[in-house]
Amino acid sequence: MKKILAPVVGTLGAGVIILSGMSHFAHADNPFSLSQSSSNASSSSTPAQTNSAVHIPDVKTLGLVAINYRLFHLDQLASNQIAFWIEDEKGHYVKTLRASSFTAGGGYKMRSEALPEWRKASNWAHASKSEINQVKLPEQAAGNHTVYWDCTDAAGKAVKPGKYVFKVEGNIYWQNRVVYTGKITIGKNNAESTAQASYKPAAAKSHGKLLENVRAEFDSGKRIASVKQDSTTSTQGS
Amino acid sequence: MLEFHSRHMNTNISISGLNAPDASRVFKWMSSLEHQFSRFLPCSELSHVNRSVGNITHVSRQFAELLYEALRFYQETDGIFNPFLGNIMRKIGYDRSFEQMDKRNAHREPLPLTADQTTFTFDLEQCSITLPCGSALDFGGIAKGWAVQKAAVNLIGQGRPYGLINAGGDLMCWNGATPTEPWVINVTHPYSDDQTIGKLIFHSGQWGAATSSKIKRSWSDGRHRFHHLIDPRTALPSESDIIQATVIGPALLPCEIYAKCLMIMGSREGSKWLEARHPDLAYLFIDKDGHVIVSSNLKNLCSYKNFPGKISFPPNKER
Repeated sequence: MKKILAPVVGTLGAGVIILSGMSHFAHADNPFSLSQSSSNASSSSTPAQTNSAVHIPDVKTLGLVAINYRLFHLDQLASNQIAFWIEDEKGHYVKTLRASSFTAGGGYKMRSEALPEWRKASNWAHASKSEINQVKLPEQAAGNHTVYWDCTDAAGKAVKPGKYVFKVEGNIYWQNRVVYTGKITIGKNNAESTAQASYKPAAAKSHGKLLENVRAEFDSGKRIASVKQDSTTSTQGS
Repeated sequence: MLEFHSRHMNTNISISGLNAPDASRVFKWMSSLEHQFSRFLPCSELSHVNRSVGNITHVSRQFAELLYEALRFYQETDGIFNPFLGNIMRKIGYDRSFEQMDKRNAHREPLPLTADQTTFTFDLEQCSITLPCGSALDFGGIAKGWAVQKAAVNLIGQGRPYGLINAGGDLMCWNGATPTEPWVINVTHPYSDDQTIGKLIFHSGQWGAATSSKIKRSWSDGRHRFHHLIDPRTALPSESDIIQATVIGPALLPCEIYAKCLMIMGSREGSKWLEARHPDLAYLFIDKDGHVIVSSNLKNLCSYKNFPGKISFPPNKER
């Protein structure tokens, strides 16, 4: 038996910790393994529940669409919010690729002018926390960037060959926005397309330039695992 | 690069550099631990233990293993990291998921002195514990990092050449995002996850990083400001001058533990204390005036860039 006089500095906890069976415990300190953790959990007094929602299928898709764009930083209020999404040829929403963290994370509740076209198309008010986390795009530096579409829909299923619309919406200044729209064919052949800008309202252009050179390239058969995306991994306080 | 996202332990989990089956297994592992170690689920093993104060209680080997780690850090940190704060957390109102808390009915009175009068027994051979009356275990400061670290170490052991597992900012990565590209980790602004104050860049090797904050899980009852980082010396939310601390090292679990300790002890005492005890860990923290302090050894562990000497806050939310 090992008795530890816990060097507690203050008011709480246990003043004395008595440990016994120390040598045996070393064998219990096994490295992580899923089979072991599963059996450990099932033998505990409170069996772990499995969650079918965590299953991720390994999807084979048609290829990869890279959407390239040049981003500018506008030093003004209510600006610099962007969203990328895909629709089918008939205008049905397919998937959101990325959207600025502030708006995607709920900032539109405070600022209703934030990315209204994307929010309406995606019905974002009903997005799950997991969906939100998946698309959140931290603030990017000015310059050239790329976002990728792996040719899956919002449910993670591979889409069929055909023409798809890629859209990028950006807040320039409050309700003044730019929306880039382009169409690209995905299938057996590689393709490319340049998006056209539409300013909403037309006078929005006078408030500054947020995006330019928005174009998409489809690479048939290419997998998203093979490309490096802008880092979205963060360490933040919890 | 494939990314997978899911939500467990009331935290967003993201995985990069691994395949879908591996990511599924990590998510399933995190989900199972949530059901075992949550303070907020009445059917969890932890809740069962906390209801059994004063009695010998048998626990699973996995529970015993995490408890052992918690006690090891309890001793190593002289009690600054303290897994016995379950009742304090409950008393300040943190008795359910943060989003569901009754923030208006928090209490700020410190609990009476108990530590020198109580004995906690832990029979490792029998996997049984006796929790003294008035105590409650809380693994909130350790379970997430432990879970991620074990998952990562296991995958490394199985030969996965590179990967990154991030549980709400507590992360482990190994061997760069590709053979030629490093892992780039944004350190967020304490008042806004949308803003980055700098980047940590990890090339080869195995690394952990954890960030702790007084800002994210803070609330007010109308009179006092509360947060979830309790100073065990006062039984009250820490009043140190650090508002966010990130600790970096070869493994995640010490990073998670010492980020919290740094937050509790403050800039003057905490930084010297950490440097003396763990020269293998590096840190960066932000004090209440916005100064960004980086330890001198951070450059030995990773590259970093863009960290200003001082940040402004609250940030301009009308970007």
